[in-house]
Amino acid sequence: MWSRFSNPAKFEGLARVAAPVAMGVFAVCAAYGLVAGLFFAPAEQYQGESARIMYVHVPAAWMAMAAYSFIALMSLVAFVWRHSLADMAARSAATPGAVFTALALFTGAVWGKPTWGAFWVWDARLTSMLLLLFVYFGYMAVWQAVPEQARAARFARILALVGFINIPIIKFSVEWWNSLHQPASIIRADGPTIDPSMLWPLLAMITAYTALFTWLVFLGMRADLARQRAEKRVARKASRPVAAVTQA
Amino acid sequence: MMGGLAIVGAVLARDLKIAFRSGGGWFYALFFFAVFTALAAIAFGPALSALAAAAPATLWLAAALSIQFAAAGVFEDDLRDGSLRAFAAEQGGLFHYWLAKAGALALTAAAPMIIAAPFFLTMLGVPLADGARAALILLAGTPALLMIALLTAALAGGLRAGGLLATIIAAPFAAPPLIFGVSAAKIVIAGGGLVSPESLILGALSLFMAAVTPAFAIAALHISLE
Repeated sequence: MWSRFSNPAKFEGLARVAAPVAMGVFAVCAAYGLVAGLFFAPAEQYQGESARIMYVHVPAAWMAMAAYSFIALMSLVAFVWRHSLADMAARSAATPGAVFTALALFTGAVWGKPTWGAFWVWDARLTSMLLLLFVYFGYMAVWQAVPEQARAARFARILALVGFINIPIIKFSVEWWNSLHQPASIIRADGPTIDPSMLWPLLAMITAYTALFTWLVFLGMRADLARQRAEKRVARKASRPVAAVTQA
Repeated sequence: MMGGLAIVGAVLARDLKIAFRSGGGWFYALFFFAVFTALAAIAFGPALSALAAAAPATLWLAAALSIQFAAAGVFEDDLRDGSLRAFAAEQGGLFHYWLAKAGALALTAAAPMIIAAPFFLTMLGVPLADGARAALILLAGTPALLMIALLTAALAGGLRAGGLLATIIAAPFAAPPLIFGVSAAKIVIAGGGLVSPESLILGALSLFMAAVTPAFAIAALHISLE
């Protein structure tokens, strides 16, 4: 059933409905999650008020990985079925994904200062997130470096897929590396399972971030389609007089 | 039509002839390796004890960067003069061509560096015998570095600022071999055995990269031809 949306016209129809819906879900969930999380949820037992940054940090980290998985999945779809829309989806997901990764790193640093006493520690998670950001940079750079969209898409697919295979290896390596260099220097408040009063705002924020990502991807794809149409129109206009001359 | 092995031999022989003729520049990678090591020593300061502590990391960074830069232009000439297109049309695939290129890069860039590594390590305060064993660790990890460099060179080949782009793309791939290469080198320099979990994982990374990356690199080369 999904393949019918590989037709750009049908996709436009879907996007025209789905994008505002995603935006609405984002607005509602973010409003609830931020207010409930930042003002009404209880402060964390060990870390106090500073742990409230969790409500913007955890969803960002989740989306950083989900967005790259989405890019890899769309690249696979584009690789196998040659749907140009899948390429556009992957491309549109790159910038939001990179921004989510940067946001996760930034909020992590802000959270790290009161908790660990330093903005940056070479903790396994931080390091692998930093390397994930580099993976995003490389992917975006390939799109930038090739002027023709269709060609850039084919290079980008390859990089997205081989990068995806590499991510678990990076994660494993960094965990090993960190265990060698910093034995148990990080205090983790692995308290009891998270309380519902904190869980609901967190789930709302995760939903909000996912909806925001969905909205941005739809927007990016529609912008891409519009750009393609505009380019085609310019190309048609430019080719008309030439055709007339050759006929005459 | 030539057989597969004959193609590998022919391309390899041609590339080696080009590299070793006067002005061919086979020693650039080795020179880069030497210059990087010297600059690192100058940056770290002359105290040999401090240098010895930083030696494994210096060795691996120098090796990774010099292989990366040596590989940057490896497909460029063949792309420009059309011989890559001819190989692809003649053979129907580029696997043998890729194999020959990997061999040429290993012989011109990696091998001299591995042979020279113990001597550079002595300059960094590591005894020659330990340095020789650290060079063996480098040998175990070099295939991973070569595969990453060739993959990124194939992806960025012929693009604007291709060399820099290839290095950016390669950075996250290079992290695991660096992690395990440096720890395995530290272990042998500290008097540990050549076979450690770290060196075994390093070898596994080399095998994994050799199994996975060629298909992607060859696909990228085919796209470059379109």
